[in-house]
Amino acid sequence: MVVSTEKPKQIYIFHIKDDIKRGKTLVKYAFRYNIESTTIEHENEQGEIEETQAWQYEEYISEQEFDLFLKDSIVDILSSLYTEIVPKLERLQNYASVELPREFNIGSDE
Amino acid sequence: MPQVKKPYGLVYNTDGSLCVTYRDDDIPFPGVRSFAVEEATTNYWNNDITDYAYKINSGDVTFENTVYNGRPALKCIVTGTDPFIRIAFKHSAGNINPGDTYTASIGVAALNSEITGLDDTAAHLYFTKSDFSGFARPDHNWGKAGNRIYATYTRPIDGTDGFTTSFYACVFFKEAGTFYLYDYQLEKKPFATSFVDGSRPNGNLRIPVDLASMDDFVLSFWVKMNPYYLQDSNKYFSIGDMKDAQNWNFDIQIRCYSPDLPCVRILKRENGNLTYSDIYEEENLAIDWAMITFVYDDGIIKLFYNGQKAIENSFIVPNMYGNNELLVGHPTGAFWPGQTGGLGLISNLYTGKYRKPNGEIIWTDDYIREVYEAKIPFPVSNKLSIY
Repeated sequence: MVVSTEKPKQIYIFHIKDDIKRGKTLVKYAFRYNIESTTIEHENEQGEIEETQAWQYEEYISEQEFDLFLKDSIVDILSSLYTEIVPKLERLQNYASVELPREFNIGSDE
Repeated sequence: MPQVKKPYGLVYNTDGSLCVTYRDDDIPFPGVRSFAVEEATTNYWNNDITDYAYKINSGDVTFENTVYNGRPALKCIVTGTDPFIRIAFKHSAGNINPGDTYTASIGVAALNSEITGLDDTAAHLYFTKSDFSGFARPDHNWGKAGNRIYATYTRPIDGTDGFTTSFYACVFFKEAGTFYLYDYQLEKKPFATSFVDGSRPNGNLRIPVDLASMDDFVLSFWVKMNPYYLQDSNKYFSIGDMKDAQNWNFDIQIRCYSPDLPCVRILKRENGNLTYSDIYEEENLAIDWAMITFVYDDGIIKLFYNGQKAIENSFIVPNMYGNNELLVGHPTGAFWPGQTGGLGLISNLYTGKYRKPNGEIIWTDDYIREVYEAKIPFPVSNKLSIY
């Protein structure tokens, strides 16, 4: 979980690389989800520790190739993708947080 | 530049730079050296292994002063069925003040076979008032690290333990075999260090990295934490551009937020904002050597633990604060009140580009795994310095 005092945007684009020859554009992006407000201990300029407003969130990083003529629609496409993908990511997150015992017997506590 | 060679296999240049160790239990695998990220300390046993006593409840033991890996050692041949033998090393230097904390550590190597475990059934270490009394080990925080056993003892403030001018640290054998006891050291510290007798120059290891001019880079190293520094969240180990508590922009930290559960985390400070990456928790960080590989590539950070990807976040690494170097460890005053810098060992350090000039990735996920599994040694750069 990332924690930042800077409020994250839901979608972050690292870069867009155009391939004119192939008529394609490659977009690398991050979806930030499960964004929640929190507080962290932060040191102020006087060296005193104080609680500061922060946000915690999960990230999904991926890249996608689009036809170049769709470039002006990429923001809308990523927004739709975010709406579609994030609920699935949130469900996957629940699987990741399941804790398994290191050793156990089948169907018995003995 | 002339080199200084010290006991305990430590070598450094006369200007204090390039301080590395060859000690067999201070490296993750053969063929590499470890950098001293610990401060110097005094060995009250001073490499003198003649002042010892022993008691045999059953079995037999013979001793021979010898050399193990080029260093003085005591060879102990333990025989008999279910032997029960204690060897006590004396400390009698000066008064031992109430409240003082001492740590004893001794290397134990078996001649013919692996020791099946440096635990109560093979060998352990404890402090006693006289040579063999006080067998119970209350507060004798003992453990093992590689082939070394160690024990820590703090005199009660009221002095009720009776340890006034001397005490003993006892090695306890319950297994037959031929053993070497070596590199034994007694320090006035709450933890065992690798660099005793003032052998390690003061200062911090600094890695020259010009982050500002890099779109991509790799920082790979093996680390072995001193477990003392993973007891609570106020003690931590870091590699960053930290100048002091107020002035730093980038930091890789190994610490415990939860008791006994060390984790790795990357921090940055930029434009007044503080950002923490994902946390990767790994209990073995307090026990074993681990290979940490940090990758920065065009706004993404990745952290690999023993060749496996553990963290991936969008994260613009900010410009370094001040000059272009990463500090391993901490300068004085770099902490919030109550915090302490963690010490440990760094080995097989590598810094370089993540990609070739044509954009092709060198340090792919597969390559990082290969570097870990093959234990590829990287040359020690003579540009690394400690000051």
